[in-house]
Amino acid sequence: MNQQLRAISELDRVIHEPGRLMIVALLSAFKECDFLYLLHETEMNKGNLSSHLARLEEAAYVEIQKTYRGKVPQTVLRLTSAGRKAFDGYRKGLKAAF
Amino acid sequence: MLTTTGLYGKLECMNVEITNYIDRAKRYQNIDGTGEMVVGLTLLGFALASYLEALLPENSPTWMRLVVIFASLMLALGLAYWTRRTIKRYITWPRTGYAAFPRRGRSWWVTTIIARLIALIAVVSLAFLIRRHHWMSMSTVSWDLSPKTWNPRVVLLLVISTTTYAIWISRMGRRHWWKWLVLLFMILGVITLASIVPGDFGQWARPPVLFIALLWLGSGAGTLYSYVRHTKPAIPETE
Repeated sequence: MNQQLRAISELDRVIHEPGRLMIVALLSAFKECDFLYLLHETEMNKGNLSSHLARLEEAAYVEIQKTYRGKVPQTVLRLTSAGRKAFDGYRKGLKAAF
Repeated sequence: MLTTTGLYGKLECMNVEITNYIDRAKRYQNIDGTGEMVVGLTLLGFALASYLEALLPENSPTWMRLVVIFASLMLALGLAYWTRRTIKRYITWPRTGYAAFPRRGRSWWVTTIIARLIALIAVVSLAFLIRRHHWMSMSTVSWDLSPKTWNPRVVLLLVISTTTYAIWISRMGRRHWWKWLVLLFMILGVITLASIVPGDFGQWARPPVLFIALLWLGSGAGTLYSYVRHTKPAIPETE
């Protein structure tokens, strides 16, 4: 039990939050996606999603690129290699806690 | 405070949720039915190649046959690529967002090729077993269906087409129950066509392949219709 608790306490807190976990898990399946996709899939509101993304960007797990598709603004998001590594580590940590 | 069982339950739930999110992301590739359309158009290319080849004079050189097959397949694949790109750009991305999938790594290709080879060997073995059984039972059992229906090549085509579609439905289109009816229609259609179309394998295979291609296309179109009905374009604004 102690080992399990230790494994749980060592889980990455940035990813562990349910909203951010959802974002990182979805991003891990893609090379890149846009804000609209995440908004649609996570069913969060724009403010909530933006704040989670800002937190992930601050931890250098997500790269955010503001661009245009034609005349429409588009925010493209991708998981950085650090983010991918952190997510893999998180999943391993979760399995270790079993 | 969490008990050990509660802790296990919570961790298990989290693990399952992560897997669900990743699977959901993978299914997004075919949310609009473009995957089925690509398969349908590719099969249509094979059917077209076969029909065009049949139109050539019997003594035409091999290179001419190869050119016809190659041109038909290129036309079908080009059309598939263009259709997919157009639907994604003008329908899917403005409605539910843009997503690009990573390029497949070497390990994926190796695993896929090995898995397909194993599947092919299994299907060919099954076809041979059925053929042997057919030969052995011909003297004792009277089949109601035409013996042609149990030709190993019919079984091969039937098993490949239906298992591929069944795997596709279970992985990609869980929300669309009507696709199971399409699968049933596919099975019945191939058996019926196999029992009524005369000729050697070259002639025989054309109508079922065309039929399967049209079913895949229809299934894709149905998925696209359902997707368009249940979504609407997002209003562009600052994020």
